[in-house]
Amino acid sequence: MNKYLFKYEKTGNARFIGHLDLLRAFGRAVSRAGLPIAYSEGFNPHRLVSFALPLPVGMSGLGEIAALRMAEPVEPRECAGALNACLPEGLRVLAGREMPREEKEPAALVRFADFRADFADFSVLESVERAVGAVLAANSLLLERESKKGVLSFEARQDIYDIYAKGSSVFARVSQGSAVNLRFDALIARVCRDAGAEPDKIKCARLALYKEADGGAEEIF
Amino acid sequence: MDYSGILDGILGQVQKPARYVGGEVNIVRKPWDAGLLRFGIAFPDVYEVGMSHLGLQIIYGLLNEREDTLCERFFAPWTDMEGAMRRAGLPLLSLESAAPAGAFDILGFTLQYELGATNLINMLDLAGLPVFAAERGEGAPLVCVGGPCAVNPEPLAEIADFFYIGEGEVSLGRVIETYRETKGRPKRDVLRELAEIDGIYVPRFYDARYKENGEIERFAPNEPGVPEKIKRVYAEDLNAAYFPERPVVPIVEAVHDRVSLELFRGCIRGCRFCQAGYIYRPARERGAGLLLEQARAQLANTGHEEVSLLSLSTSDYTEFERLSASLLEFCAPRQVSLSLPSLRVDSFYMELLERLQATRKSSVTFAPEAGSQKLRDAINKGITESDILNGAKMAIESGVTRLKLYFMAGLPTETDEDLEEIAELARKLLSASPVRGISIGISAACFVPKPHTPFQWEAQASPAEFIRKHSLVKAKIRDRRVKYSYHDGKTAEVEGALARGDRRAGRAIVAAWRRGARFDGWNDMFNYEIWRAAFEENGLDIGFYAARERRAEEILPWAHIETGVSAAFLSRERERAYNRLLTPNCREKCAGCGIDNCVVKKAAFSGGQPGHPVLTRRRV
Ligand code: SF4
Repeated sequence: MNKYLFKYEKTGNARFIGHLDLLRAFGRAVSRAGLPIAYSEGFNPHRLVSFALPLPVGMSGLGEIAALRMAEPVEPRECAGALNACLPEGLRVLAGREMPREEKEPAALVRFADFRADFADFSVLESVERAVGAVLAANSLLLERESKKGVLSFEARQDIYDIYAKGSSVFARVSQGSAVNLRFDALIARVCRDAGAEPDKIKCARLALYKEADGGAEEIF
Repeated sequence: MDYSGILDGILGQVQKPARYVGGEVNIVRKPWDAGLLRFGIAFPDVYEVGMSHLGLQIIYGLLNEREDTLCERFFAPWTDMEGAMRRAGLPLLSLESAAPAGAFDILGFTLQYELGATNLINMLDLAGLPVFAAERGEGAPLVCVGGPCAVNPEPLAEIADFFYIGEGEVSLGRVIETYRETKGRPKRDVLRELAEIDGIYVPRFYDARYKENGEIERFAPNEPGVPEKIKRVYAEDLNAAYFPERPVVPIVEAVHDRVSLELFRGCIRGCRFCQAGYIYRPARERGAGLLLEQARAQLANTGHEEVSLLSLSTSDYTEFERLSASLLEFCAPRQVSLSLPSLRVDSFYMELLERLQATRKSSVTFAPEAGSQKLRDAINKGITESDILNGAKMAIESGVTRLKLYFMAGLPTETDEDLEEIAELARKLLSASPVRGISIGISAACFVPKPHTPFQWEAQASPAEFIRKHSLVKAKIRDRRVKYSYHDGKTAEVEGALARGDRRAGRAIVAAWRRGARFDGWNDMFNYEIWRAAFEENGLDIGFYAARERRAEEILPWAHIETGVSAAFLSRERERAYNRLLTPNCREKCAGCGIDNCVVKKAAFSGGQPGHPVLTRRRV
């Protein structure tokens, strides 16, 4: 099969790269690194590179996952080094491993993710902590999201597994993936609104992606 | 001052924020405070357009190779970003160091089309610089404008400090050296020194005087010793010219996001409407072996998925068969596709298509430019109806189901019958088609006379006239398999006015910018009312610049720029157009255009074979 998973981070200016551009950038880095990537069949063959889950533009990703299919076996650790010499600024491979034949595609596995929001404005921290506590204590939480039909509200409480404030940051574990994908920025916008903080000045990061295992969460990589 | 925090804060509010952050593969970052000359290369359109431009990559690479210079890129922010920048008080920043444009020594704009002028002005304003050169102080960067539009620099003469006329490889080095030697001296002295360099035009050292009827009465230097005429510079030997082997890889998908191989500069053809066919003379080829090496190096350094051949007429490349065969051999096993624009349809081409496995042979494009043979002869487009019919037949037989045809309306000597023949040609193509189910898309542009071409004196059709012409063709097309689309005559009018404008026309550009004109080259952004008002406000008549036929004796605003092609030759070609006489291409027979020491004439192209007409532009 020659499939490999790579854990990578997307930080700094690379935060602003959109999903399709990221796919292209990754693919080109693979080619520059001279890795024996496999291609799809058909009229327009493309490199078999995929990501576990798109990351919202502007958000950092510290434990993102890419799946690469090679035309021949490679040594994943060497690949990681070669890729790092070829990726644009802000993209960095942290580790690589072979994907066992029976392992499902990461895109099909993702169920949860951890997030962090950093508040630069320390004066609001106390009220942020209160707002976070209220979210955790509530039975219901209506969040808002913009759609073509205007602002829609949706029930999000059951998709928040954990949320707490620590130092100047808020951490949370929420539903992520192709089935249910809770927008962390919507959650933070709500916390900000309740706490009277300015959402523009907050930096968000997705920390790790999880699958479901034995009724709990287990890191995919 | 560090602007990155403010930049970061507003990027969440704009579309495609990666346009504004840089950090791409192969960028060059040099220490800001190491005493290097700081050159900002500026492209007055969005990132995706600018990053498609090979010339920008050449200049970027060329200047950064110099130890004494740092070169960083600037693009025009889209309107959402402009708004956010102005609200946040953020100046125009370079992509490499997020350094403000105003902190550079030289800002060099490359202007590819006339309608980019408002963006250029907007970028100066976003840099915090006064738009007019006379108002920029001693500390401000020198503003340079180059690119094809610089062959008529006059509309921007009050805005730029100097113009670079010709190809960057030739004189940029001397510009840098001269600037370094004169640094610290008054700006006027620096410019005076720059005026000594071949290809450099410093407009403040020249004055224009006008007659009552608006024509130029006299155009002359006001400074002793500066050249009366400014000669365009070009690289004689493309094999020796700098080529960027590590181009910056766009991080937002560019319009042309691929490796570009420059087969040629210039063209041997001399189609009389085509400015590129005159201002890049003589035609110069790059060797096939070198091109292959460049393709290999660029692919290795960028990871691109596609190689595209760049030239005005790819089929005229002497070693085309060898080059395409070797490229194919190299690219195919690497899953790199090859795109071949500007090709004629013939048996070799069809064979090549078959060999490019990844083709969806759905459409082929022909550019007859004019509907009738008579008019095609007048514009020196040396193709015949049977060339087109045969080419189409061959394409259809190989599985093509859609033909695209490019025409121009408003060509000199054109009659209504010529226009009607466009519809007739489509009819003939359909009835000659060996199979059913073929559709034809006709696209008609509006002819805009350009400086330094045989048609530089011609009248341009008015927007109303263009509408009449287009309706005429449309009415003649009754077959539902033929779709007719056409360009807007109003955009063409403004483009024409700027293309052949004089110094006074620059005021209208600034006024249009003040009234909010941006991205005028983008259909949905162009606002004709703004431009009408901008000309009027300055007491200028758009028609004086666009519609008016120039007298043969008139001093044209670009007469002091010498491309090397003589005015006598251009006027001879104009006569020949009236008499519908074809002029042979440069390889068949030198037409005596006036180019000094012409390399085509001297050596001829190695093969010396008679050229074929260019029939198609096609992406494979
Ligand atoms: S001098 Fe002759 S061969 Fe050379 S570009 Fe002019 S017409 Fe062509």
